[in-house]
Amino acid sequence: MISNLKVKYIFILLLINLLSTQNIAFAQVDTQPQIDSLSTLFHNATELEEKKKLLKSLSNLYERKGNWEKYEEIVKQMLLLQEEKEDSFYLAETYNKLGISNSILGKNQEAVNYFQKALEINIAQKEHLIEANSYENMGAAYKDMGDYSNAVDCLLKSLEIRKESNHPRIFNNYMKLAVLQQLLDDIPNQDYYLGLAKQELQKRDSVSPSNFAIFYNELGNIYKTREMFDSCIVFYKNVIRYSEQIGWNLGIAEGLGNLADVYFETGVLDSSIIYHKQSLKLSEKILDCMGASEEYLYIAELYQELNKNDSVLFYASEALRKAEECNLLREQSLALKFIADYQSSQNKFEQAFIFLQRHYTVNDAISSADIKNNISELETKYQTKVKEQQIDLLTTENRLKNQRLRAGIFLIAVLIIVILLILYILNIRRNQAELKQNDLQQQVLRSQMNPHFIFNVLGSIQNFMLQNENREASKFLSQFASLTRGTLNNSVAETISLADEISMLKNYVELEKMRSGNKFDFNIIYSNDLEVDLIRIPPMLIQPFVENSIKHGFKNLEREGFLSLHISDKTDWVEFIIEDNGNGIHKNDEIAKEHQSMAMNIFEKRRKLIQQKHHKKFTFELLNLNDTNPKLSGVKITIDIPVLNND
Amino acid sequence: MIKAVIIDDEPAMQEVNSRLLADYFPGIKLMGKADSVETGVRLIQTVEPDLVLLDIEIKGGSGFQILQQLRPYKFKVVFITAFDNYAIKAIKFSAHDYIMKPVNETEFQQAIQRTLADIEKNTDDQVQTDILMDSFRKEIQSKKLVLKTIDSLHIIDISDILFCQSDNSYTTFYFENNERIVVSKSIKEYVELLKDYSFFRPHQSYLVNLNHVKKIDKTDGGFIIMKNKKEIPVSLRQKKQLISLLEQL
Repeated sequence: MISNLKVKYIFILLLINLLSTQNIAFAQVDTQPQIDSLSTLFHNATELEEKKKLLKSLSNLYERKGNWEKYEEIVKQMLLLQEEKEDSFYLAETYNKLGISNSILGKNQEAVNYFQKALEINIAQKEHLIEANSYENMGAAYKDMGDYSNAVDCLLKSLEIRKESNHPRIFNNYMKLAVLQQLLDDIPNQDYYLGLAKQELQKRDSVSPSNFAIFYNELGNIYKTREMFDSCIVFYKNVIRYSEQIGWNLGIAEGLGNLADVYFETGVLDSSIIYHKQSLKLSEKILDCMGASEEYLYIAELYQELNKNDSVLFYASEALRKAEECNLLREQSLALKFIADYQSSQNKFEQAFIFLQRHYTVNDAISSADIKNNISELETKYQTKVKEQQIDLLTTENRLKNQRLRAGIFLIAVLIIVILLILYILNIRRNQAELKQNDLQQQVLRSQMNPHFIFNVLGSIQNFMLQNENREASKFLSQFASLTRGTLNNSVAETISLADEISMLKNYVELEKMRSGNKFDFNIIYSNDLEVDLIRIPPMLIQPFVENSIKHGFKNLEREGFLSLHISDKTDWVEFIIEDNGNGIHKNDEIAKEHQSMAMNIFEKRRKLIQQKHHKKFTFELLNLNDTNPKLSGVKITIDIPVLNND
Repeated sequence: MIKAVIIDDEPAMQEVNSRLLADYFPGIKLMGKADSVETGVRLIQTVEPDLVLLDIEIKGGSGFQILQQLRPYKFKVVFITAFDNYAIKAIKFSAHDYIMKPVNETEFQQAIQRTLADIEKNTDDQVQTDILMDSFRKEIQSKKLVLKTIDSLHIIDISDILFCQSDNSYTTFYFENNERIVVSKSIKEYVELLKDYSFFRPHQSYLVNLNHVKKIDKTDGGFIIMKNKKEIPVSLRQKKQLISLLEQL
């Protein structure tokens, strides 16, 4: 039990050496005067940097003294100072220190947390060597928690970083890994790491003897568990030898204690006592209360074995005295229990009872302290857990929120793109429709004012002039001018008033009538109420049908032709009924068909375009009168043109 | 004897018009022809005509420049123009007569006949000339309109017109205090002229100054009630547009 405590202490000393390697042999000096003077300096200090430095030195002193409660208190003050001005390097160092104190005080989970914080800062700052130290310390904390796999993991990470710079502390990694292998019961691996550690030691010219001491101490421990006691003795003697070389009392004490243990195990009690006494002397010298008390008790036990009753009681009382002097409850309890048992074995029941009573009183104090510790530990553990859960919850929530946000943004982006695309396509289509419409209107213009028509009209006018019918010629000329003016104005317009459309049709038919030599007559019929000025329709849709009636219906007609155009208001559309008494449409009339189909073609295109653009009904119907009544001939065409007033 | 000159840069048109004048109006003596601003001004100054047939587009500028240079003048002008443009608008605002090319003989006769009547009456038409020039310069934003009746020239503020009513080829203008003026022109002419002065045609036979509208009665197909309480029918077709126009006012 005693040596286990010390092993742990040495293991941790390995950590501490990181920070103050120059002070291997520190423990023999009384640090109290230094602590007092530093405290005074700290209370008078005003500069932040100075305060920081003083606290750091103070913490190092408490560390040497082994007063971990005070040490932790100081480190917490360091943490508070850090808050005044951000200094991540200093913060990392503080976290490391807190980790060490927590680790030694048995609060391993907290220690791991502090090391983790230090580690994060180191990684962020790319301080790789310090990062390796943090990993090493974390490994130690994990080991004490019994989490060996994490411990191995941390030590290997530390090793990896150090290998890059061939750092001397690679040795420490190997040693700790070897110790861990023992806990994992993996003897071959343990030997492997021990071998590597030894290589590491021999490789270097200026290796600190302390490293050899540590190495041999571990080796001794290992061989002890393997029950190879002869080797053990050699190894522990090496520990003492190397520690003596540098005056490292703690190392010597450790070696001596271990040696004594081995002799005890092998039954060589005399030697055991001798080594324990040497160890005791050393502990007294370095003011190690705990060690001294333990050694006294150990010697007492040994004398009991040897039945040297005087010595037993003396050493046991010394152990108790030492424990009381330094207020070490556990050691007091152990010593009291030992004395009580011993008195009882000597049949001194009264004495035994008194000591037992004292033992229980101390135990009560310990357990109440323990309970307090336990409760506060449990409390912090609970709070950490709650916080972790909250953090987990928050991160999950955040992740969910982020995912939703991302999904939302993505959706909106897609929607916008789709809408833009649709608008773009619609725009293109509208432009195309417009172009198409313009094109068609040009075609209408060309078809109405086709050269054939123009020159025929001019020719007719010329004919009047030649026959000296100047008045007639002049009249038709002005009519032709008026039609031309109307066509030029209206063929580009989207809508035209019904009045203008009627007037253009009238002009056109008059001209045709003149050309034909009055072979037909015509009539345009509509009610006085018809809102000719208000109704607006697409221009020049009727003319092709009138033209067809005159050109084909009245061609070679023997009787007088008659053309009527009825116009009526159907609110949403205007109905045009064009009726002639001409030849009608004969299916074998190829030429008529061809011409008709061309005019029809343009009309049909315009009809579809207007219907599509204005979403209004636009129909037309062609009826051969001969089909309904054999006595009749001619064609009746009904066209319903949509009114486009409010479009 | 009425003295006339023709100013036109197209020799054929000069010929046509002089022919028509000779054929239909033996009482008019053609004193000369010109084809540019410069020669036109000189001709008019020399012969001091009663009637000028004036083309708007002539060599060296526009017919209006001749009038501008000769102001004030006493002769009457009949404009001749090939195509409908803003110049026609000015002519219409000032109620001058005009003839479109190529000449329609009926229109020609009517226009000259009306002008001869004016010459006989010897009315002072200086204001008419002012409005013509103003309208031409400002292109459209004249605030005055000339209404010509058989016996007089009415110079009116466009904003004073309440509404116009059509009766075939006559148009009646209504004003405050039940005053009215009847002109022998179709309402269609005025629709074009007045559409930029918040006039609206709610019905085939009516042209209304929206600034004098009191309210819209939506019952029974709809009526506009003017500030002088006169009711004007609204065509179903124009209702929607009327309401949106009134909302903008």
